Amino acid sequence: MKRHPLFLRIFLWFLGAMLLMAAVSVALTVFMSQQGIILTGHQEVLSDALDRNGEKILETFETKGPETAFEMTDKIRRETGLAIFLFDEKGSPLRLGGPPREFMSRMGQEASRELAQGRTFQIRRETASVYKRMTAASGRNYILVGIFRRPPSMARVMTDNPKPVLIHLAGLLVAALVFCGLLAHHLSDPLVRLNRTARSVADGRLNTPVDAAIQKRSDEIGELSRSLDAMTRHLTSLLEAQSRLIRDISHELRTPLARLGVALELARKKAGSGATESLVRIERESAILNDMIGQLLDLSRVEAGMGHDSIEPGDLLGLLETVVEDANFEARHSDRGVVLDAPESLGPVPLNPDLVRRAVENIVRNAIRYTTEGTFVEVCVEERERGGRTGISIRIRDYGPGVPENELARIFQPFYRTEAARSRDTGGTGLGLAIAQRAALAHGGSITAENAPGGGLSVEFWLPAPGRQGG
Amino acid sequence: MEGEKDMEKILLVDDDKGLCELLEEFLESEGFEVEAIHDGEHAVPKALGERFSLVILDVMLPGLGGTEVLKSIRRQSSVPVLMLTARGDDVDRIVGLELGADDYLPKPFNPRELVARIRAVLRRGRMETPGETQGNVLRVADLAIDPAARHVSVGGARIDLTTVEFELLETLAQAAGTAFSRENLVRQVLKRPFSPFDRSLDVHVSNLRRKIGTYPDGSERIKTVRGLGYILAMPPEESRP
Repeated sequence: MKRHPLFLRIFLWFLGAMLLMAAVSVALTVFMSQQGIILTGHQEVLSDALDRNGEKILETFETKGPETAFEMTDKIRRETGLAIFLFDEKGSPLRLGGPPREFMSRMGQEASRELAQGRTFQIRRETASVYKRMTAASGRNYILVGIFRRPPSMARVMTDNPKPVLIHLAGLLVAALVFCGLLAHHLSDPLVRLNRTARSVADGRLNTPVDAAIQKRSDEIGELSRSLDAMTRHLTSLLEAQSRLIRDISHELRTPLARLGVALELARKKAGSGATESLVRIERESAILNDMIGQLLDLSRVEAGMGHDSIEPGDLLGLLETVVEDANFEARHSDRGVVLDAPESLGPVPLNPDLVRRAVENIVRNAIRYTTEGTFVEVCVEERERGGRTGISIRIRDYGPGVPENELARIFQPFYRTEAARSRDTGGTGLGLAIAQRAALAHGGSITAENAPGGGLSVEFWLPAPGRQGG
Repeated sequence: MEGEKDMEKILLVDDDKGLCELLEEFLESEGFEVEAIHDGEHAVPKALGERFSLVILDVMLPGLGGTEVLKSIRRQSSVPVLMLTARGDDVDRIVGLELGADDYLPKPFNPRELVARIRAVLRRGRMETPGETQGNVLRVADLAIDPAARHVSVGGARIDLTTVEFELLETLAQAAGTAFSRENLVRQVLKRPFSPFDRSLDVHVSNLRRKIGTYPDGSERIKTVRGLGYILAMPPEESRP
């Protein structure tokens, strides 16, 4: 069984799309933090932000008073996460209220100490601090401290405690895999099943139903399945109509033919000897017509029964022996014969006896028609593998003129006759081999023809027989 | 024709009136007296009400079908019935024989063949008159065949057989243990020449097999001899009566 590339493709595409989204999101974050759109703990960014906001705050502080300035710092903190604190040039806090006074004084002292030593940036475990001396428009000096709470960086968390991160990642990955898998399955599985149905229909099993669950889907796949179902039903009804027509025509033709036969016999009784020859001819022609109708009925019956006829283990050898015996009896009248070359026993073979009998009978009688006077038609039975399947091969070989190579495949078409058959008027209906072919197909078997070495046609009727030893 | 003691009367049941007319003319020219009926409902009382030597019955009848008619006739009468079937309609054919038709002929038929079959069936019917093969009851193991009374029993239990089945069994039993070719059996039992690809003998054999059952060890009483025909096998262990 082939893998389903569609499943794999959808799965990979979606997985790829999810990974790409994750990558884009990371890249954008990096980009935005570099642009200062969002703040990270980087020195320049923080320093820039402090510069930009500090001037405004100082101006507000001096012109509109401390309350307005502190409102402003609160607003900046909410928006960017950067908390700005204001001190005089000696480091004494300028704000009343807010954080405890002691804490603020300690921060102011630390800031002036750091600045005295020429350091403007300090990074701690969870915060980054920037210190800055600034001169306001009034000429007074101030110390500004910006404190930024650092977001937990991936690397830091990884080194601290990798387990939760890994669990997190694994969880995400599993969720993505499951989701992608389900999605891909959801899309590709109904297609796989629809294909199976279509395949089965193409193989001639027209009664294969389309999965009801798929038909209930409201999407395009559901629509496709309903179309497929409608198509199959239409096809079935067309074929049924066709074979019903053939059957009806054949039946109807028989009625006048039956009357014709009796009328002919009455005419024979009444007519003088002068008409005998013509009457014999009429009788022969009506017999051919009758044969043809019979064969047509057989053909349409085999076709109608395809996939419905029961196939059960049966005595193939016994069946073949009877057919050969009968055929030999018939052939003796024209100085020909039929011989069977078969193993002692064959065991049960899955078959529909009626179909196989008709098939082999038709092939054998066809062979008798062509084999040269005084020769024997050979029916050879053996176990033989075909395409890796075990089965039984029935080869029917005559010693006649054979069939031109380019016509070999066509002899199984209804009413197909080789040039030789047409000119020789062999009395065949042109349907026997077509019936045999349909019978072989109904068994899941095959039929092939080839010219035998040394002359004559060899037709192989092959029936699958699973579970046998090969060879 | 004039030599016949009294004319054989045949009931022809077929819905094809044209065919019936022609057949009537033809069969009368062959020395039979023919009465034709075109539907199944009227055929049954007719066949049971009057004495016919033979009924020719078409399987395809409007209303009550041919097999139904046969069933109704067989419930009360053993008048020989020859069935006309569409060629290759195996189901109908086999059902017809199982229900006790004496022979069948696929349609369209050769009228000469029809007459031959009619004569064969009538010949069998005449031999049915008891007293011809007097006395000896044939026994093969627990199978007892009384040709005089035309009784067959297995282990004392009586079995109902059709005329053909009885004669088939009698023929095989007269030389139990000896194989008969299908050709010979057709000649002797069906009283007509063997025609290849004709399965009616085999259908009769399989009906007979079903009715008489197997030997206690499960083996068939009537065995198929490959490439030859049939044989009434002797019981597996020699426990001769």
